[in-house]
Amino acid sequence: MKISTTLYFDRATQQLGNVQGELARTQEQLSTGKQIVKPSDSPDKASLVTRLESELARQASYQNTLKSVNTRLQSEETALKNTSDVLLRIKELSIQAASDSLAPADRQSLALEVTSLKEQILSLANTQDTNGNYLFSGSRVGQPAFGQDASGQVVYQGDQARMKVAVGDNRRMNMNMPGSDAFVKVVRTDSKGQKTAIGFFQALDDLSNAIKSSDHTKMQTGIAEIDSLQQGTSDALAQVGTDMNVVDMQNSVLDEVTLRLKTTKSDTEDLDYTSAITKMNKDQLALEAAQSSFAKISQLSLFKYMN
Amino acid sequence: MSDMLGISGNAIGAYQRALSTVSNNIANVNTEGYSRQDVVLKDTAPSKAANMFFGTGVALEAVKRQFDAFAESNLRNSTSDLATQKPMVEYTKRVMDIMGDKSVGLSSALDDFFAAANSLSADPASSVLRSTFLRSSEGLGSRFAELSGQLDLVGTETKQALESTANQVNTLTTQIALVNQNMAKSSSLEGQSAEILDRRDLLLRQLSDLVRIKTSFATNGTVNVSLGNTVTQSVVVDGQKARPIGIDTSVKGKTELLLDPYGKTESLASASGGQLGGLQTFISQVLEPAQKNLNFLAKTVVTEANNIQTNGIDGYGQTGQDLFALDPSVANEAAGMHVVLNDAMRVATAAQFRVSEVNGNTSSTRASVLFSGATTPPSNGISNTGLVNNPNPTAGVTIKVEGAHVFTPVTTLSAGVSATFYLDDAKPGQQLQVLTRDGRQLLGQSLSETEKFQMLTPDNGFVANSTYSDAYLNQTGDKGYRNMDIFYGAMAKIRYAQVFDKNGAAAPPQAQAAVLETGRIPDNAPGTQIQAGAIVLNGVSLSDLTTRPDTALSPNDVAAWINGESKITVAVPSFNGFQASVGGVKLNVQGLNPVPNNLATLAATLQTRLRALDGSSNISVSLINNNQDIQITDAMGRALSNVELMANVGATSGGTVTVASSLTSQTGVHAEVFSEIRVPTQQLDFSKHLKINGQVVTGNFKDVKGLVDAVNAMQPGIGVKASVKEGELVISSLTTGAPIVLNTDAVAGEGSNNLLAMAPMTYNGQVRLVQVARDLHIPSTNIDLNRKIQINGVSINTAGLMALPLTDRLQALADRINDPMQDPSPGVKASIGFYGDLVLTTTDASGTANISIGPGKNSDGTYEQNGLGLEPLDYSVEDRLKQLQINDPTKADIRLSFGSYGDPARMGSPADLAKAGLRTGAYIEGGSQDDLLVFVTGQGKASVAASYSGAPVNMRDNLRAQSLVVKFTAADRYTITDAKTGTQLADRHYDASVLEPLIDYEGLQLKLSHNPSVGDSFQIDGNQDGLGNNVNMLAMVDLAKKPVIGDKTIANSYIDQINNVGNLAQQANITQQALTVVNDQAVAARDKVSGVNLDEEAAALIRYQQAYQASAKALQVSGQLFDSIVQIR
Repeated sequence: MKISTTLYFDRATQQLGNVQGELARTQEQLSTGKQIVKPSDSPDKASLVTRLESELARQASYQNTLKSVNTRLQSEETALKNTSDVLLRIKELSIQAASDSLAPADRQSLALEVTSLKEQILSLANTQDTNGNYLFSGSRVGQPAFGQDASGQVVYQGDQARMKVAVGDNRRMNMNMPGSDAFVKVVRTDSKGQKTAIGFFQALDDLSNAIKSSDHTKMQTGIAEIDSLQQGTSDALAQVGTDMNVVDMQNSVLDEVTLRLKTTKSDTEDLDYTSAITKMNKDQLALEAAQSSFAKISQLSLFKYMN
Repeated sequence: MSDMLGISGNAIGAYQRALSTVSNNIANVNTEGYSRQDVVLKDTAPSKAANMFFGTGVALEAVKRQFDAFAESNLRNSTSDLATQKPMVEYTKRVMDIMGDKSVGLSSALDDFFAAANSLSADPASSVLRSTFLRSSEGLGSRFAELSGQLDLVGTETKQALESTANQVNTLTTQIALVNQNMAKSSSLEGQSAEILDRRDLLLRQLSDLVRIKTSFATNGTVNVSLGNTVTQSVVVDGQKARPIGIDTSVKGKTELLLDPYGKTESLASASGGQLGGLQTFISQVLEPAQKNLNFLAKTVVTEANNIQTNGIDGYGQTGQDLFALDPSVANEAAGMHVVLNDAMRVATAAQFRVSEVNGNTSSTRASVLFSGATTPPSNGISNTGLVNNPNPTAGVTIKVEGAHVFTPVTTLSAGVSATFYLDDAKPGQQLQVLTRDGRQLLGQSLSETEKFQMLTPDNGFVANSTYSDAYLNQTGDKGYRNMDIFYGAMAKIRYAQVFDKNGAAAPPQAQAAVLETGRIPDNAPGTQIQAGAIVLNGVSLSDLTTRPDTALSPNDVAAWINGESKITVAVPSFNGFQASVGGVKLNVQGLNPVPNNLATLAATLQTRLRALDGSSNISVSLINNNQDIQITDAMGRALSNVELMANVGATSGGTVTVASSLTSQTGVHAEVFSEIRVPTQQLDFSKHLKINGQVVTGNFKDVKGLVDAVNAMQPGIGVKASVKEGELVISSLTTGAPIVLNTDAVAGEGSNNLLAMAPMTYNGQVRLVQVARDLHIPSTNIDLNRKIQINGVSINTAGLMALPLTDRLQALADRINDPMQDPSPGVKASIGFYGDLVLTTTDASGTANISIGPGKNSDGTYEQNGLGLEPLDYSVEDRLKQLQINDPTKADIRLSFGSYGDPARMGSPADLAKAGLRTGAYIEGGSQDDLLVFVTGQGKASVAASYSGAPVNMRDNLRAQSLVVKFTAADRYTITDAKTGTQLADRHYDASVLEPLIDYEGLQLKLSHNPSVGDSFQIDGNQDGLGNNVNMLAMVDLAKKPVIGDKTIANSYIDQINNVGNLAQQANITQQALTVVNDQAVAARDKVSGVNLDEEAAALIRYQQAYQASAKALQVSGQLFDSIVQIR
C-alpha cells in the first residue's frame, strides 16, 4: 500500500510522542510512588480511593475520641482509687474510735481526722479535667459535682446525664459517670421502718459527729454504712475498669480496620515498582528503536540515487 | 503528418507537461489538502494508408486529480466522531481531578466536619473543640462554594470554547460559500481547477472536525452543507450563501445552539458530533449533572445539619440555631453555602430535655428521658372543623346528647390557643365540660360516675391510664390549673379604650367599666325562674329569681334580682336611739323620744333625722307588716352595717334587727333596665312604612331626622321615643322595660316588610349590668393633716385635727368630710376602708361623677402638695376602676358563674342563665398549656359556638419551658406535677409488668431502669445548663452514617458522583482510542489515493524523463534521416 511521505512523517512523530508520553507517565509514577497520581489517571478507581480515604479519616477520628475518653477514664480511676483508699482509712479510724478503751478526748482527734479525710474525698469528687470541667457533674460540667446546699449539707449538684460516645461505626461506649453513681447514697431505715436516703458526705458527717459525741450506736451504723459507700466506690471503679477495657479492645479493632483499609488503598493506589521499572525499560527500548529506525528509514529516498 | 518528426515533437511536449505535473506533485508534498495529480497520456488517432493504420504519436489528454469521494466522506465522518470525544476526554478529566482532589474535593471536608463533630461529642464542654467544629463547618461550607466555583470555571471555559468553535464554523462556512461562488463559473466538474476542489475538500474536512456535517454536491462541484439529520435540515451553506450559527443567550446558564441567531432563527437541537457536539455532550452529560448534584448535596447538608442543630440546646441553654445558610441571591446553592453561627458556644451539643433523679430518692433507679415528638395539631387548634371562629349563636354547631350516651364531644383545643365556647339553647342540666387529656376537669360541673366511666377513654382523646380530678374545677388564677385564666359562665371584662396624649402619641389604655347586656328577657310564665344559689355574681350567691305573682317575667324582675335592696328591718321596734353605718358612714340619731305606740311618728322623725345626717334624700323609713315593723331602705343600695338600737327606758331591747345590704354593694355590679330597638341608619328603607305598638307612624318623612320627629310627635300614645346615636336609629320604650311591638302590615299588603327592615315581632326589654366604681381609696399613710384638702372644690376644715390622738384622726377627718352642715356639699361620703384607708365615695345617682382633689394646679403645672398626698386631678370612674382592679380583682369584672343549691345539691346550669337572657361561655384565655377536650353533658340538643385566637404551640418548646416532677405515690402509682405552679397534671397507674414501662406525657417519654421506691421523684425539665451534654452532637456524628439521599449517606452520594464522572471519563477514553484507529484508517485510505509519495514521484520523474529523452532521440534520428535524404544528390 502506498504511504504518502507526509503521512509517514506524521505517523512517525506521533508514535515517538506516544512512547515519550508513556515514559513521562511512568517516570511520574516512579517519582511519586503512586499508581494513580491524579484521579483522572484512573477514573474507575478514583471513587474507591476517595471512599477508602474517607473511611480512614473516620477511623482516625474514632481513635481520637478513644484517646480523650481514655484520659477521662484515667482521671476517674485515679479519683475513685484514692477515694477507696481514704474510705479504708476512715473505716480504720472509726473501728479504732468504736473501741471502748478510748477516752472521749482521743475520739475528738479521731473525729478531726475523719472530717479532714471527708474533705479530701470531697475534693476528689470535684476533680476537674484539663479544661476546668468537673468530671463527676454529669452534663452540668460548670458546676462542682458536690457542694453545700442552703442547709449546709453537701449534696450532689450535677445531673444524671449518662452519655455515650461513638467509638466505632457501630460501637458506642460510656463517656461519663455521674457523681451520684460513684459517690452513692445509703438508705437508712429508722425504727418505724421508714426509709430515708442519706447522701455520701452526710453519712461521713454523721459518722464523724458520732465519733465526736462518742455515740456508739451511731458509730456502729456509720461503720456499716462505710462498707456500703466502699461498695459503691468499688462498683464505680469496676465500671471504669470495664470501660477502659472497652477502650483497649476498640483501639485494637480500629487498628485492624485501619490496617485493612490501608492495605486495600495501597493495592489500589500505590505503585508496583518492579513492573513500573520493567515497563520503563521496555518503553525506553521502544523509544530508542523508534528513533533509530526513523533516522535510518527517513534516509531512504529514490532521489538519493538519482544524479 | 504521421511522420517521425511530428510524433517526436508532440511527445516531447507531452512529456514536458508530464514532468512539470510530477514536479508540481513534488513541490506540494507538504501542502495540506493537496491531492496528487497525474497525467493521462493518449495515443493520437492513427492515419490510414491503404489498409494500414499508422500511429500518429501521443497526446496529453488530461491532468487528473487523484481523488476518491468515498474515502473523503469517510474521513470527514470519522474526523467528526473523533473530535466529539476530545472535549469529553479533556474536560471530564478536569472535572474528575477537581472532584476527586483532596484539597478541592468535598470528601476530605466532609471527613473533617464529622471528625470535628466526633471530637466535640467526646468533650462537648470544651470551647476549643467547639471552635474547631465551627471552623470545620466553615471549611465544609467554603469547600462547597469552592467546588462549585471550580465547576463554574469549567462551565465558563466550555461555554467560551463552544462560542469560539461556533465562530470557527461560521468562518469555514463563509469560505465554503466563497469557494462555491468561484466554482459557479463552470457548469461541469471538469471545468474546475484541482486547486479549488482541494480547497473545498480541505474546508469541509476542517468543518467536520468542528461539527458533524451532511453534504450534497452539485454536478459542477459546488457543495451544500447542513448540520441536521438530513441534507435539507439546518443548512449552513446553501450554494453561495452561508448562514451563521450562535449560542442562545436569552436564557442564563443555557448553552443551546441557534441557527442564524440574528436572522431567521432556528433551533439547532439536532446538531451533533465534532468539537461542538462534544462540548455540548460534556455540558449536558457531565457538567450540569455534577453541578445539579452538588447543589442538591449542599441543600441536603444544610437542611440535615440545621435540623439537628435546631433540635438541640447550645452552650447558653437556648434552643440551637441554624448552622448553615444558603445565599438566595446565588443561582448555584452550593456556591452560596456558608456558616451563620459565629459564636462557638451557640453550637447545640445538648439534648432538649433532661431528667434528674431527686437526691432524696431511696432507690437507685436510673431514669432517661426522650422527646418522641408530638402529633401535629390542627392549624387553628380546633379539631372540630365545623366549629368556625364566630361567636354568633347562628354559627354554632348542633350538639345532641341522647340515648345511653351521657355526653357528646365538641372539640379538642390545642395547647397555645385561647378560646371561648358558648353554649346556646341548652336544656336544663346541660353543661359544657372542659378537661385535660389527663382527666383534670377545668370547667363545667363535677362529672357523675357514669359520665367519668363513659368519657375518660382514649377514644375521646384522654390518656389511656388517666384518672379524673375536679381539684381545679372552675378555679382561676393562683388556685386554678397551672394558674390559667379560665371562667365558666357569663362574663364581661373591664374594657380598655386606646387614648392619645396631646402630642398624638398613644397613652396607656384607659380602663372603662365592664358592661354586660343580656339578651331580650323572655316573658316566661310566672313563678320561680332560677333557684336561690344557682347563680353566683362576683362571688356573691344570688337569691331566687321569681316573678311577681301572676305576672310574666320582666326585665325589671331580673334587674331587681341582680341589684337586691339595702334595707334594715326592725321587728318589735322600741328604741329612742338609732345608729348604723350607711356606705361606711356612721349615722347616729339620738333622743327620738317617740310617742308610745305611734310608730308612724317614730318613722317620720327617724327619716328626717337620717336624711339630714346623710345630706340626701336617699334614705326612706316606712312601716311594714300592718304597721308593725319599721323598715329603713337606701335607694342608692349602699352597704348597711353596724346597726345599734338604743332601747327605751324600761324596755329590754330596742327590737329585732335584720340587715340586708344590697347585692350591688357586694358585687360592685348594678343592673339597669332598658328596652329599645337599634337599627343602623343605612339599613332603613324609606319606601316602606312603620307600625309600632299598633300605631302607624304617620307623616311625610324621607330621612332619619324626619322619622325621629314623626315618632316623637306621636308620644305618648305610641309608647316609644326615637333618637339617632352613633349612626343608629334608637327606638326606646317610654315605660321602663316595656316591650316594643313591631307590627306587620304597616300599610295593607306590606306584610312583614317594614321601614326598619327588621322582623315584625315583640321586642322584649333587656337588662344592662354595669360595673360600679364609686370609691377612691387613699392610704392613711399618705394623709398629711397639716396641708390643705379640697374635694370637688369644697375646702375641708382640718383645723385642730392634729391635736387628736393618732388613732382618732382619720375618723375625725371622715366626719369633717361627711359633715352635712357643709354648703356646698363636697358630693362625697368618706369612710374608713377594710385596710384602714380613707375611702371617698361619690354620692351621685349613677356613681360615675368625678372626684376632684385640690387645691388645683398652677398654670405652669406645678402644684401645692395637698393633705391627701394625691396629684390634684379629677379622679374619674376610670381611675377608680384602675384602683379597683388593683385592690380587689374579684370585682374588676362582671362574672356570673354557677353555684349549687337544693338537697341533694344541684348546680346552676346554662339553662338557668339563659332565663335571665345571659349566654354561658367557657372562657379559656391566655392560651392553655395543655390540650383541652370540650364536651357537652346532659340530655338534649344544644348549640355550641366558639371564638378562638392564637396558634397551637410547638409542643417541644412548650414542654421545654415547663418543669415536671414525676413522683411515685405508691409502688404502682405516680403523679406528674408542674413544678412552677404546683398543679397536679396527672395521677396515673404505673404498670411495671410490661416489658418496657414508659411514662409518656405529651410525647415526653421517661424510662426507668427498674422499679422505684415509693416517694422517689424524677424531675424533667428543658435542658438549660447541660453544657457537658453531647446527645445532640451524637446525632450530628450519626448524620455521617445516615442514609439521607435515597439510601446513601452524604459522603457516599458524593463518591457516587465521582464514580459517575469517572465512568464517563473512562468511557470517553475508550471510545476515543477506538475512534482514533478508525480515523487513522480513514486518513490512510484517503492518503492512498490522494497522497504524494516522493519515491513514487521520483520513479515517475525517471519514467517521464526517459520517455522525454527517447522522444528527443527520435526527433534527432528524424533530423538525421532528413539530412541523409538531403545529402543524396
